[in-house]
Amino acid sequence: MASKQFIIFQLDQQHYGIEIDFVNGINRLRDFNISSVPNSLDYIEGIINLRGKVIPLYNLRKRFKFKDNAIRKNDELLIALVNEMNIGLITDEVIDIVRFEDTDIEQTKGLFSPSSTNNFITSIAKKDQQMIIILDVEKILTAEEQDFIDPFVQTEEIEVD
Amino acid sequence: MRNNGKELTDLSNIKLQDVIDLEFLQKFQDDFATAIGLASVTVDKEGTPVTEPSRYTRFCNYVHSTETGDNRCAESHRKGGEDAVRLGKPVAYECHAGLIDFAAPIMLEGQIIGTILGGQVLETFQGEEKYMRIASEIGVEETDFVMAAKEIRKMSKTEILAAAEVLYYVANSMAKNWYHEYKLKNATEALNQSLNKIAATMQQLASSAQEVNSTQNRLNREIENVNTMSEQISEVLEFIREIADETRMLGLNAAIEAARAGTAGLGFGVVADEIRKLSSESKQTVIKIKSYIDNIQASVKNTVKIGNDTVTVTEEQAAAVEEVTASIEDITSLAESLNELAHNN
Repeated sequence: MASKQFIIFQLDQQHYGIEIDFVNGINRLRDFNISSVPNSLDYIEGIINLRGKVIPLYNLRKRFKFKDNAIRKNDELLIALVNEMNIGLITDEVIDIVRFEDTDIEQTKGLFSPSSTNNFITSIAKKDQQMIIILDVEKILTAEEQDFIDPFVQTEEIEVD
Repeated sequence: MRNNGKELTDLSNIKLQDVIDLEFLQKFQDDFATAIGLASVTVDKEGTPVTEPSRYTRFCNYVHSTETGDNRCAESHRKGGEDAVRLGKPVAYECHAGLIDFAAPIMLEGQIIGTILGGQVLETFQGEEKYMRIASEIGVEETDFVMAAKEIRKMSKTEILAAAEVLYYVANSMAKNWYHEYKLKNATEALNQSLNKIAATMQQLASSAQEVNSTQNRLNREIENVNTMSEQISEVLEFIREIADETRMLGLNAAIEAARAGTAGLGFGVVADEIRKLSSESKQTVIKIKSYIDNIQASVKNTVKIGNDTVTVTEEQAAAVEEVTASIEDITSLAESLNELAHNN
C-alpha cells in the first residue's frame, strides 16, 4: 500500500499538511531579521537571510484571508520548495511529521470548484476524528506571485552581514 | 492586742483581744470606774478576765478570798452574763451576796465575744445579819465582812443600768468599728492581690502578643523567600522550556532530512522521532512544573494574607491589653487609697 509522509502545521486551530518532499526545514521566525520589500504583494511579509540564501516570507494568514493576519513572535517558518525556489511559509506552529496511507486521503476535486484562489487545496487527510487540509505548494504561488518573487531569488548566494 | 494578720472569716474564732484594744479598754474601764464609783472587769466569752479588775470593793475581795466565795461569785456572774447575752443588752441583777451587779454583752454581728461585768454597789444596806450569814457561808471573818459591807457605795438601779449602758455602747462600737475596718482591710488586700495577678497576666499577654507578632513577621519573610525561590525556579523552567522547544525543532528538521534521504535515512528517522518524543515529554513536564509553581505562588500569596490578618489581630490585642492595663493602674491606685484608709483608722 502506497503512503506518503507529510509535515503537519497549525494555522488558526486548523491543521494543514504539506508533502515532506517539498519541505526543506523548519525555523523560528524570531531567529531572523525580516527585511521588508517595498511595493510588494500583500502576502509577502519581506525577505530573510537563511544560511546565505534569500527567502521570501509568505503570510498564509493573509493568503487565506484571516481577519487576524499579523505575524506573531512565536510563529514558525516552514521552508517549502516551490518550483525549485525556497519560500518561508509563516505558520502558528509546526506540529508533527506523519505518514498517511493513500486510502486516508480524499481528493477535493469533487468538493471545491477549481478557482484560481483555492486550487492549491488538493486533498483532505483523515486521521481519527481530525481532518488535515493538504496543500499543494507547487500551486500555492500564482503565476503572478512567482514572477514577483523570482527576481529576489535569482542569485543563489548573497553576502552575509 | 488586736490581731491583724489572722484570717478571721469565721466570727466564732474571733477573740475579744482581736477586736478591742485592751490597753485602751483597761484605761477607759479604770477611769470610768473611778468617775462613777463602781467596780468593773471585762471577761471573754469563756468568762476568763481579759482586763485587770477596776476598783474592786474590799467586800468582794473578801468573797474572792475563799474558794466557796469565789465559786459563788463566778456562778453569779455566769447567770448575769447569760441573761445579758440572751437579751442582747446590759442587765442589772442581785448577786449571791446581795450586791447589785451589771453585765453588758460585747457582740459582733449577733455573736457574743465577751462581757463587761461590774457593779458591786448596793441600793440600800440590808442589815448586819444578812452579811454575817454570808460571811459564815463562805468562811470569812464576820465582823470585818460586815464592816466592808457598810463601806459599799449606794447607788440606784437606774444609775447602775445607765453606767452599764455607757460601757456597753463604748465597747460594742469599738468592736464594731474594728470589725468593719478589719473587713475593709481584708477586702483591699484581696483586691490588691487580684489586681497584681491581673497586671502580671496582662503583661504576659502583652509580651505573648508581641511574640506572636514577631514570629508572624519572621514567617512572612520566610514565605517571601519561598516566593523568590519559586520565581527563580520559574526562570530556570523558562530556560528548560526553551531547550525543549529547540529540541523539537531539531527533531523535526532531523526527521525532514531523514525522509528526504529515503531508505538511507530510515535509521536516522528513528533517532529523529525519539528526539521529538523527548522534547514533547520535556514540554509536558515543564507545563506540569509550571502549574505546580503557580499553585505554590497562589498558596504563598494566601499565606501572606493570612499572616497579615494575624498581625492585625495581634496588634488589636496588644492595644486592648494596653487599655486594660491602664484601667488596672487606675483601679490599683484606688485600692491603694482604700488600703491606706483602712490602715490609718
